[in-house]
Amino acid sequence: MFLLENLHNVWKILSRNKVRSFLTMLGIIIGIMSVIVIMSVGAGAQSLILNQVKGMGSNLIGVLPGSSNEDGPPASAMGIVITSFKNKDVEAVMNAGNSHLVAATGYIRGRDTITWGEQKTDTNFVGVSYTYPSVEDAELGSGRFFTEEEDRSSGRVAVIGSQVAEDLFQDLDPIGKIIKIKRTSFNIIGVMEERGVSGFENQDNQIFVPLETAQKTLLGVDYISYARFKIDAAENVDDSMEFVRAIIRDEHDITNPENDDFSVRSMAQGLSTLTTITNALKLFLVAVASIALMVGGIGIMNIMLAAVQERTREIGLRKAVGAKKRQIISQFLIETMAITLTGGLIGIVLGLLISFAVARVAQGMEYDWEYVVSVSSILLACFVSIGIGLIFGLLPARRAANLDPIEALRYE
Amino acid sequence: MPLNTLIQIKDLTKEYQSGELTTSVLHGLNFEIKKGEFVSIMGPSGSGKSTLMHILGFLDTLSTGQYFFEGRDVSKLNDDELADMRSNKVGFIFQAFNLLNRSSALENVIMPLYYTTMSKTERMTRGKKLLSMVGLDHRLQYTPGQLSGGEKQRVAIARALVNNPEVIFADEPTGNLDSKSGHQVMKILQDLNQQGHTIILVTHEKYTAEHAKRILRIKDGEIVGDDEVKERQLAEDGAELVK
Repeated sequence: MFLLENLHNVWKILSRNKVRSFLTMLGIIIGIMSVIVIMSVGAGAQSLILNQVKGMGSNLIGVLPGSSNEDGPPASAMGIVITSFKNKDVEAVMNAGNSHLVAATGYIRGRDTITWGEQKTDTNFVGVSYTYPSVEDAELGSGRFFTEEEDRSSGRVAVIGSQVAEDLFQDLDPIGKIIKIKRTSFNIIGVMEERGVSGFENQDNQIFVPLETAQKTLLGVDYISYARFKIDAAENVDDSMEFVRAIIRDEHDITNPENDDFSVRSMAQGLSTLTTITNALKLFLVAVASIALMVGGIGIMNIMLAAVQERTREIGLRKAVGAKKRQIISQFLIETMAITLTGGLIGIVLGLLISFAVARVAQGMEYDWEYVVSVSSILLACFVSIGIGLIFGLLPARRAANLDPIEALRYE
Repeated sequence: MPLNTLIQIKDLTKEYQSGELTTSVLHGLNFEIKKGEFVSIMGPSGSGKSTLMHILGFLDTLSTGQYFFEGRDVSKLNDDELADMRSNKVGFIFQAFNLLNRSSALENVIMPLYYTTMSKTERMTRGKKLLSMVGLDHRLQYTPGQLSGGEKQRVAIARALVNNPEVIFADEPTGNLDSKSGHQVMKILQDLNQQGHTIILVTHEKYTAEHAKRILRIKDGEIVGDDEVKERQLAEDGAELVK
């Protein structure tokens, strides 16, 4: 009853001076809006990363040449070419007879101009084993992937990504066409299903050729850039990583693990690293937004102190007709909290709109971006705005309650 | 103490402490006010009459002595209990009206009920009844800015009555009014007294004070006279405002 009537009064006071009320709320609006945007966009970005990793298969193990500690970037990611990692290492692991290892492939990457008649496109070519589709759960849109036979015999066959197919052949059927990569002719035998952007790569703008063909014919090297192993179940990932390490160490005649010239990572590890980074970033941004909220709260306290001054006579009168201290305190606290909550609600709505816009833009750019609205962040924003009202309203409210009614009534 | 004694004051003193300096405002007052009386507290400015009214009206506390209201020792009451007394036992009429400028006449009248348990519909009914009693039933939704001085003071009177108080304190109620409006206000006070309300009027004007039935003269913090009014001024404004 008391609360409802107070709120009615608050509404009257707020609408009395709309510009000032709005300016008073601005700090809270901006602060809460930022928090909502950060939470939502952050969650959207995380969902993007998560989807990509899931898209590649969460029970994958990656092996990179060069040593690195668990969380740091691998040497190869820093532009250092290491030639010690070979496809025979991958084969050795697969031949060691661990039933948890389902499939594996090495990768070697290059980039060149692909031509078909007069048509040209710049794209990446990737040398992989015939097992690539089962390792990455990649589906073929049409045609087939190369066989073990074609793989072993360094066949001049290629499977192209859907983007390449579109760039080179438009509406024509690419199967059976002959393209040239570095003057070597390749017979197109399949087109991959569209996969979208994953990591920082457009998966659809690639051409897959047998690993050895890429190594010997196109690049003239004998090493691989990295390898991936598919594990039968996620719970076997850790054991399998140890197994892979042991075999490769053996292959490379390494006795002391500190001398490893390769590093084994799981997708889960990569995911947790990324999540750690994005969470830290989110926390930092939330901290910045909290400063906005603090400043907003101080602004509100300032306005409320001025309001107490302005309404001294009213407060004196209310005390003279029987208002108790705590009733005056709650009147002012409710008023402050109503201002901050209103500001908070406006901030929430704006924040949701902005995050929605960001999500739509990202989706427009064909990222697998989800518009994530967490109820918890909205509830948090509500509580925070009420809390700010409570904290920064207390001083003005107490000052009002402690006014001497006689002095207050005389106040001009 | 007789049953009809409302206020009993014994050796009341009031001192103000400001830093090292102690100012004594009231020194040893003794008097009683019975239910249904109409008393003027009259004195020049600085005599302590306002301080006395504040103490009697539970807005201020006494320094020494005793104040019994309906037999209850007021000096033993805490802040909340004093607020309850203000809420239930007294109504104030101020020289400067002290209305909330942005609220309607009706809202102003029922404002004190906000701090009681009375339901909203009951409050509205009571507020309307009182405003019609002071002849303002056509001004319910007017804000103070739209009312004349006399009308404002009548709103304030309705507000003072809204909690059905034991005693009404009127502090220079005609001080800001022209003589016609002043008459109207005094007439209402006299009519209310006629109906049995206890009224304590604080003024420095002899003429205004003589509308009461009894005058307590106060000077330099002491009571210098306590007389019945022999030739009482009867406010006639021609209008039967209180029915």
